[in-house]
Amino acid sequence: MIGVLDCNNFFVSCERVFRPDLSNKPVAVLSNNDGCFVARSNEVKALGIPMGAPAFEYQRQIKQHRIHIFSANFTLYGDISHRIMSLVKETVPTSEVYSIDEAFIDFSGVPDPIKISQQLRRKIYQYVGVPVSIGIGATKTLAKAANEWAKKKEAYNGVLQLTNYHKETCVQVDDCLSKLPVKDIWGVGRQLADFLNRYGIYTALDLKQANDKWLKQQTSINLQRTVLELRGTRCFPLVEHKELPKSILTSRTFGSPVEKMTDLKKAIAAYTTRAAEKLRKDQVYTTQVTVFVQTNRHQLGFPQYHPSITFDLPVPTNYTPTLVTYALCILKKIYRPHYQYKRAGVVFTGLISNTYRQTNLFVHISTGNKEQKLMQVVDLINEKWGSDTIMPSITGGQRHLWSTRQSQRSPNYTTDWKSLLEVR
Amino acid sequence: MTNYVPLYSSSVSAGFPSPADDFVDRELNLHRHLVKHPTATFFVRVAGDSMIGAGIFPGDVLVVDRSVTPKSGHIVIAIVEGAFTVKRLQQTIKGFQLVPENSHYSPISLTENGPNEIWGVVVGVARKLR
Repeated sequence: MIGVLDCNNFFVSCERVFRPDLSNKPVAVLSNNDGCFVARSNEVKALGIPMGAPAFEYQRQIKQHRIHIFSANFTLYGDISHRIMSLVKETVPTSEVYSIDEAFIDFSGVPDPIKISQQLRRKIYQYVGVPVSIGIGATKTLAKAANEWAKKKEAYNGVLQLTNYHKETCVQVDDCLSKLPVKDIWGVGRQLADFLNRYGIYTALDLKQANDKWLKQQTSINLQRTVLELRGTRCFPLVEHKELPKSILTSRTFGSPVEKMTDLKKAIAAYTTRAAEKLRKDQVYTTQVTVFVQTNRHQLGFPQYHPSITFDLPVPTNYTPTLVTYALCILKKIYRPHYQYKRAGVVFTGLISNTYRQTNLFVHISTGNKEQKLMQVVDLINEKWGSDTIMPSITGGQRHLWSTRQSQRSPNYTTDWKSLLEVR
Repeated sequence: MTNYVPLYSSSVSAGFPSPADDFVDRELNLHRHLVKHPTATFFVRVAGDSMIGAGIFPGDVLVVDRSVTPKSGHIVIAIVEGAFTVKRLQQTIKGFQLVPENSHYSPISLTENGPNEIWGVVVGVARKLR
């Protein structure tokens, strides 16, 4: 059996750990730049506000229902997530962390997965204060379906197992699938759901029973694998070891539109610095740098310009000064005055492990040791004193007109001595 | 989390080995001393003097372990009317109470659900004097 553990309304739940006064009130979390709803409490969901909805469209409801709004605090959520995943790894032999709030669990050899799941669920709630749901099934897709159900019905107490035969503590597979709309199946997005609906496939059971020949002709291999999984055959294995990231992106939408090159330079230098930190943390080098800028796509009256250039580096690197130099070089090439830029970013692709590094015949590299030592010290200082303590001077320091709006961010209760919870 | 590795105090050079070489031990780690369950441990800061009798002063950092089952006699972080408070948990014939250690404050009675309003158990206090 495979299980999937998933935190209920994760970002909201994290905020509530430190705000018990909000445990039964409508709470929502907004994305970077306070743009869209990225997490909603059950009370907010009940009001019909959809996921990803732009906040400005719901100002009236926010006021009317006194919805408590938080700006996303990823530092906090990352720390809470780490605690939860550690607990999962301590409790079960094999698991795969799938996202910030989800993990797959391998229950092979476990005679009573429901019991272990209930114990894990209670442990996480006691230790960290976040409620989770666990779905159990023969495949990842079935486990995910079980999880959707576990969340919906309180009677299941957060844990639900799907089985083929009738068992008292479990739910029959087809029973569950018949009530699951295709859009809620793992791996099926809205567009694919619309497509399936047009052919009369509305529920997961319909999909499970769909004609094989039709599936082979009309759908992608991925969907065919999903169907096999719905039928009980495992196609997506548990991947325990973390793969190297394929790319690292740091980008932000600006709080106010930016026109001047000097401001863009500071922003790009800052994003490059941040992305380079991620490179070193993941122990990889990058071989390609992409820089892009964008005007505001939603301001239709204004001239639009969104260029980007990718540059292949002569030598793989994760040394901040080098990367900042290249990034600014690219920026110089793409920048054009008199545009109102709303967003910019830096992407590193072609990542390779830092244990492999082939050099270029035409480029002289220093031994690299001094550079590495410098970056180690910088990273240590930033870790101790806060991530913006040491930055390339070109970034001009911290808060700027291009900084993201985070007007309602909660304190970093678990990572900043100055932001600890206060108790009387 | 940094792991401390043994430090060998004498360099290997021509000469006599140090008699201390066989007794090299790990450096003392204060964090590990205070934090037994990292996933369940949170630090909070004390504001207010309701527990000075217990040696807990304003400005102190409390080490709170949520994995410990709260029992009568434990100093706990509790939630009272939506706010966090630090008090000693006491079970009386009337039920659970949150008792201060400062005569200027009165005990608070918890409802029948008592232990559910406990956020965590205080297992340590950290105070910098300078």
